[in-house]
Amino acid sequence: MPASPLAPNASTIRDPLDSPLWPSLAERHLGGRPALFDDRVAVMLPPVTEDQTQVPVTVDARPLGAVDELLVIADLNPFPLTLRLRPGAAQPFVGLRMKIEQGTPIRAAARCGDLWHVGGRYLDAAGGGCSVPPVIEKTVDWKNLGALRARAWREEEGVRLRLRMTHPLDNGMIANVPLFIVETLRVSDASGRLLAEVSLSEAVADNPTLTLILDRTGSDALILAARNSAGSDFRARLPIPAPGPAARAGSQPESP
Amino acid sequence: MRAADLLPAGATRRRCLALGLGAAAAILPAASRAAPRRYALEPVPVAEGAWTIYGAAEPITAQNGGAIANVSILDTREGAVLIDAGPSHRYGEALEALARSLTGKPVAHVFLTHLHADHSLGASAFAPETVWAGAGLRSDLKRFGNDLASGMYRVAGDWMRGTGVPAPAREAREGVEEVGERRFRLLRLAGHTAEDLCLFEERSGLLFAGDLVFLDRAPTTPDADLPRWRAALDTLAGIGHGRLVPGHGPTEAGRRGIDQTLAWLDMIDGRIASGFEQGLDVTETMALPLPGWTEGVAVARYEYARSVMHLLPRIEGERLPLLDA
Ligand SMILES: [Zn+2]
Repeated sequence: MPASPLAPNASTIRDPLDSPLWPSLAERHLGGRPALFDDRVAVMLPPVTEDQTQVPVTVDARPLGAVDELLVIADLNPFPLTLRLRPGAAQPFVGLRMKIEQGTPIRAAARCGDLWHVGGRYLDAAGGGCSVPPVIEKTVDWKNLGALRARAWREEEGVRLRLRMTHPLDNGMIANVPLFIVETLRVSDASGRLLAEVSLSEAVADNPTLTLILDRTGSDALILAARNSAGSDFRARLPIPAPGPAARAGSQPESP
Repeated sequence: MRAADLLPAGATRRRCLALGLGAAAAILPAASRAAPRRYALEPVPVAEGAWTIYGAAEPITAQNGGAIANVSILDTREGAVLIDAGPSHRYGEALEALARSLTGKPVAHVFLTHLHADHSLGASAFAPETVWAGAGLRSDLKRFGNDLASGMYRVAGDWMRGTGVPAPAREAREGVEEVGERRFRLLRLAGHTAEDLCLFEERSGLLFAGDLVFLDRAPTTPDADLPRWRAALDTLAGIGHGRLVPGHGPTEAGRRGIDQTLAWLDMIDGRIASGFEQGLDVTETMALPLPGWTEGVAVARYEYARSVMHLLPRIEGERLPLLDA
């Protein structure tokens, strides 16, 4: 049931996930501002962790209306602050893939003015007594480093953007592998107006794959600009198609 | 990503969470170590001198010890023949004792259908000279077997004690293997994994399809190649078998298992492609409704969610348009 923006009992100051680390994380990342636990900030997780290096997470705080910034925090990761979205002219929504070290609360914190609204859910690790971890062989596609794949959909509420960048995110903690990550992604309209800015940390999965929803715009293209920790810039222009027939999923009958 | 085939039940996960054990979930298998674990293998006749032990229609858990796949025993003049060996050393030992009591003979040959732990690791209880696998599976066991076993140790705990990585000494090649009065036609196919061995026993008409066929239990896709899988199912449909023993689910005459597996692959393929075309991310695609007929398929929503994680990222890497720099 979607919580009404006015429902006071949807908010609480007690951590529903009961994590002992949360108070210090809040102090470190929420800039001394007060925080409420609020189920209008939804964190969508898979029913099982299939691959600890590519955990799909979607954060949706749209019931809050306009938001100044949106953080994704994993309490028990070595780099808890995973991603920061500044939705200048975008919805408080982000889909990402992240790494986890172990089972951990996954939080989203949305700031409206001086108040943080925090939602979250607990995510089990693969093999944490509850699943079989997969066998992963990490390979880096250096030849295509920085290659951007993206597509935009014009929808009723705005422009949905999905993008995937070929780039490792190395945390610099493994011998002989220095820190090497995509640090920022900026999305602007064709006139150069900044619509959304995303800061990524080492905890975002390799080949960052993001979903954003930008506010409605008359612009016919998006400019994507990424910068990595070595100072390299990657830019691309993505045309926004005209609105298409809104084909929504599988209502046709099927049988085996 | 490879080799993590079948994961534990949502029920188990929910129980972990309900107990507030979250980060300390590893306590559960440790606590269960106190009780000795025994597999109660119940052979069901599927033809004259042939039996199948049916796996539970569940994910692998610390409760079922990974006994979720079907394993079959055939009597021959030369000894018992096994199709797959179960998930662990202890299962393999119980299987050998059962085969002896059913046939009055030792196990002569063990044929492994594919890499996944619930089918292969029990071969650790048999002499390598009796164990057969295709060339691809033999090398994959060398490469991934250790990780496969360690994943299983973490989930199934004490059930796995003594389990090593099988090293089949016999190479299963395409063609006919005669064992006593029986003739096994070996087919090296692929699609569920990089190599899936199927066996058609001509005398009984039994077709052992391995995990290329699931029936009334949702197929798993961590190592799947859907076009090759569909082609393999076409090959199986053309054999003219009598009864078909799937990797998971009941034995039946006819092709219901083949058709249901094809329908499932088409269904997940269609859902996931549709999610991609709509611009949905992984967790959003997981939330799409499934067709009504899947209500009769065990762990349907769970395996669909896993398949989205396996397949949607591949589609993104191929079909999101590459932008000019
Ligand atoms: Zn399998």
